[in-house]
Amino acid sequence: MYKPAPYLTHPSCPYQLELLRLRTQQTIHIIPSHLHYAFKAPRADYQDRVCKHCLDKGTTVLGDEIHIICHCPATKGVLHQFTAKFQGLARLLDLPPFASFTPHEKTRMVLGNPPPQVLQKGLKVWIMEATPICSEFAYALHMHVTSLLPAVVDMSSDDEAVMSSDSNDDFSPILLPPGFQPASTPPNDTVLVPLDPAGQQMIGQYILFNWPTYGWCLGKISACNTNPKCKVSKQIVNFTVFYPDDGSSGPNCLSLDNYNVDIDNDSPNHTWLLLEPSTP
Amino acid sequence: MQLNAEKTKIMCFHETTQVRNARETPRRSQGKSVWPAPFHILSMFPDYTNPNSRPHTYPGFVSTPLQEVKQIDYLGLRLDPMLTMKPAVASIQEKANKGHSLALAVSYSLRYDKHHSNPTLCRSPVEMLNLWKSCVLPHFLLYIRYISDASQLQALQASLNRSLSTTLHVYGHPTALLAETGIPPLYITQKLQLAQLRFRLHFSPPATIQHFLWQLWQPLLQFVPLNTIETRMQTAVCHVDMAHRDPDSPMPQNVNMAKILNKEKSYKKYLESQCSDQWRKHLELTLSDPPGRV
Repeated sequence: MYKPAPYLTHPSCPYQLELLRLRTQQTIHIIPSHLHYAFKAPRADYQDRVCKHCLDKGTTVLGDEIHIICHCPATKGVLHQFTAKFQGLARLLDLPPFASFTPHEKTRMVLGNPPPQVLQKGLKVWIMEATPICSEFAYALHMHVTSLLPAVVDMSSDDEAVMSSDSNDDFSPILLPPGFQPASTPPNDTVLVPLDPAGQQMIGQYILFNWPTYGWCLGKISACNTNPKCKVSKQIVNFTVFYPDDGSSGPNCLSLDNYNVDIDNDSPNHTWLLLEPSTP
Repeated sequence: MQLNAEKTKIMCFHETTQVRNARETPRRSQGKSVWPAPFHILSMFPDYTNPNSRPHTYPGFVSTPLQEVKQIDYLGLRLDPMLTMKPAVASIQEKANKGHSLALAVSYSLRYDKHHSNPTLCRSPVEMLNLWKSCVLPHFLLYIRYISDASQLQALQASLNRSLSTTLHVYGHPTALLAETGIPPLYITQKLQLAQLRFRLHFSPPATIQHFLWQLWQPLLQFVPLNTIETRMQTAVCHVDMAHRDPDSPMPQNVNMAKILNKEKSYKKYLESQCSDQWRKHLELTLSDPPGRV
């Protein structure tokens, strides 16, 4: 116990960190029985940490490691993909066939614990051969369970209609500066790519940018950024914008992701809108 | 040889308020206010570079007053007058934070510096673990035996857990992470060190001062308070090595077979196996049906 776990002594192995995270119960969304370590949700009793995949089908099962890895219909396919590799590993180490292992023994083995049959002299072979397979399994399990999680909240068409009607009721347009009107179409995606020469077309264009505290501010794109190290919030800056209200200019990351298509005054901070001179 | 007065400080341990007030106020003697003599160094060789040196009333002597301090570093351990060990804990955390920053800086340099860029280093936890063990862990373990308060030990344990998690970028259960990396909880290491210290004192050569003092203490052990290091040593031995709570009982085979200079190291190895069992029980209690090492 005064030495690191055997799999950690492998000099270089891909996804080794993933295995460590799984064993230390960091990835709480993979094994539901670890959910009590989630700080956002109230702590549930151990018997109540059921497998969500089985719960959707009307079965209440404790979502511990053995269930998720060996029994759960939604996730046990990952182990089936790796059965041949673990079978080969068992053959290499003169272990009983992998299929003859109990679920508990399988779980221990795929999580990197050497079976009791592995003697001290065979531990080095175990470390070198089993660690890459177990790490890869941990990564595959992580990716598979993550892909099963719902990406967005599913809403019925009635709910969507209600939401859209509500949003229309609350809509208030932006008060535009005199002499300007919103551009008829958003700018092309290519001119907004940082460091792209096509961005030169945007120089001289007027925008409205929604700053925190100050609200919508009129700005004029004065230059394109050419320094890849110039970043704001880990994003490469694409333009320098001059704000005539206070005479300042600063770097901006203008993209279509934060473009205010609806011309909504209550849109989030850091959204922007391209302007064009209004026709008389 | 002469003591360097500038490098010599004075600190009064366990001094009550009344005693300190009496020491800092004058007393009346024969109608005159007589100030108690300050702590000073008397030397026969005047130090002309020291402006605090002044002639003593006795000719040929020079008196240099000593600065009284509230805390002092003695052999790396920061002591305070009442031995609360709060400054010592703060010092340990400060040093560990510096070591942690160093480990992170080296890690960042190895990953992103142009001359040895290796972005996959963060995927190799063993490299980062070895780096952390050499830069941070020794600060937590060096003086752990002198920390008697359980809350201070918990504070250090929390700092250690946080440092290890952020270094490895693994934010799971701290106890499970300690088990995976082979780093026992501090309270177990403390017991091991205390038991090892008792072994060192008891089996030290008879002609040494520490052996003399140890033998002198033995009849008085039952009268000393519970939080003294002698009592804590005996308690720790009872926890980790109950079979040898009597130091004169026969030692394990590997200790008896070892050379004299290696006996303590052999006993430490024996204690580590004992502590491993204790730690395993702790893990089974803390992590019910854990997926990791147990």
